[in-house]
Amino acid sequence: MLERVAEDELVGLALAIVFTIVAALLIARLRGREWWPLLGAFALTMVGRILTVAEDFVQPALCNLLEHAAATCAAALLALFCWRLRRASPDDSAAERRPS
Amino acid sequence: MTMVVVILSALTLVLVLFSMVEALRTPPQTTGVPARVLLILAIMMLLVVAVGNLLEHGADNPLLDAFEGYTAAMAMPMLLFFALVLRMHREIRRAQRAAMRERRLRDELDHRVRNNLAAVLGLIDLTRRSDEPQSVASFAQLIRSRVLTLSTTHEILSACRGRPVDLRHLCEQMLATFASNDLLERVRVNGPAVQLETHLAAGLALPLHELIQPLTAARELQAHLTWQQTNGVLELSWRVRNGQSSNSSLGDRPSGISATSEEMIRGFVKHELHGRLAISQSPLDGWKCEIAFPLVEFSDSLPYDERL
Repeated sequence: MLERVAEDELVGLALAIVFTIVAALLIARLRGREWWPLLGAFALTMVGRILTVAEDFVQPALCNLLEHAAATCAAALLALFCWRLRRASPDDSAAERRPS
Repeated sequence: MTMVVVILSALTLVLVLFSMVEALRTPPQTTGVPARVLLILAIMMLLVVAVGNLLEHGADNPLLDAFEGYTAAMAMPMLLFFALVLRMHREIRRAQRAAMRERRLRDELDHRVRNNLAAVLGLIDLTRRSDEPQSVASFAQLIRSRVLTLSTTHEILSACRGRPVDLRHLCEQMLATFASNDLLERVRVNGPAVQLETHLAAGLALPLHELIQPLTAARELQAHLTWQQTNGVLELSWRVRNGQSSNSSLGDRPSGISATSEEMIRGFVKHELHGRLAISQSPLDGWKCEIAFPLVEFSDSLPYDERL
C-alpha cells in the first residue's frame, strides 16, 4: 500500500507527526493559555499532512478539500496567535517607571 | 470543488500574510530578536506553501508542489523553537523585573526608615526648644506622646494599605492615643464622611495630636471638632471652651497649646497639607483654630490661594 504514497508525502507526514507530538508535549508545559492557537496550528498541519497521504487511497477530491480547509484553519490560528502576541506585548516603559 | 479549494488557498495566503504583518509589528523587545526571526522564517515557509497551493489550484501550475511537504514540515520546528525561545525570554524578563522590584522596595524601605528617624529627631528638637520650663518627666512624656502619634498614624495607614483614610476614624484614633477616660466626652466630633489620601492623613495626624494634647492636662477644657468639604477643600474647625467659670492655670493661652505646638501645627499645615491656618479668639466662640487644605494633590509650585 505504501508504494502508492510518494516519498516526500511520507517524510512530510512523519515530520509533521513528530513535531506536533513534541510541540504538544512542550507547549503543554508552557504556563498560561496563550499558546493554544499555536498548538492548534501544529495539530491542523498534522491533519493536513495525513489528508495528503489519505487522498491517494480514499476520495481524493474530498481529502484535498479537507486538507485545504485544515491548512486555512491552521493559518487562521497562526494569525490569531501573532495578533494576540502583539496585543499582549507588555509596556516595558511602564515596568521601568519608579513607583511614587 | 476546485473553486472552493482555490478560495481556501487564497484565504490561507491572506491569513499567513496577516500573520507575517502582525509578527513584524510585534515589538522586538517583547519577543527578542532571535525569537522573532524564527517566527518570521516559519511564516515565510508557510507563505511559500500557500502561494504554491494557489498556483497549483488557481492557475494549474504545480510550480512549488514538490517542495510543499518539506516546507510545511520544516516550518513546524521553527515555530516550536520560537515558542521555546519566547518562553525563555519571558522568564528572563520576569526574573529581571522581580529583581528590579525587590531592589526598589528595599530602597523605598530605607528611604522610609530614614524619613521616620528624621521625623523623630525633629520632634525631639522641637520639644527641646519649647519656651516653657519642663521637667525631664514631662519632656519624656511629651516626646512619647508624639512618637506614639507617629506610630498610630503608621498603623492606620498600614491598615488602609494605601487606600484613603476616613477622617472620623483618624480623629477617633488620635483621641484614643491619650489614656484619658473623659476625653471622648469632652471632645465632640461632627462632620460628613471625608476620605483623606494617605499623605494628607499623615500630615494631619500630628496637628490633631497637638490640638488634643492640652486637654489631657486641663480637664476644664472642652473642644468641638467640625469639618466640611467645599469645592475640594476641607475646612476643619477646632474650638476650645472653658467648661468652668474660672481658669487660672492656662494664663494667656486659653487653648492650652504651647507656642511650640502652634509652630508645629503651622508648619505641618503649610508644608505637609499645603493649606492655611487661622487662629482666633472671641468671648462667644472661645479659642478657635481653623485649618483649610485641598483634598486633591496640587503641584508644589502653585500657591495655595491660586488653587482655590
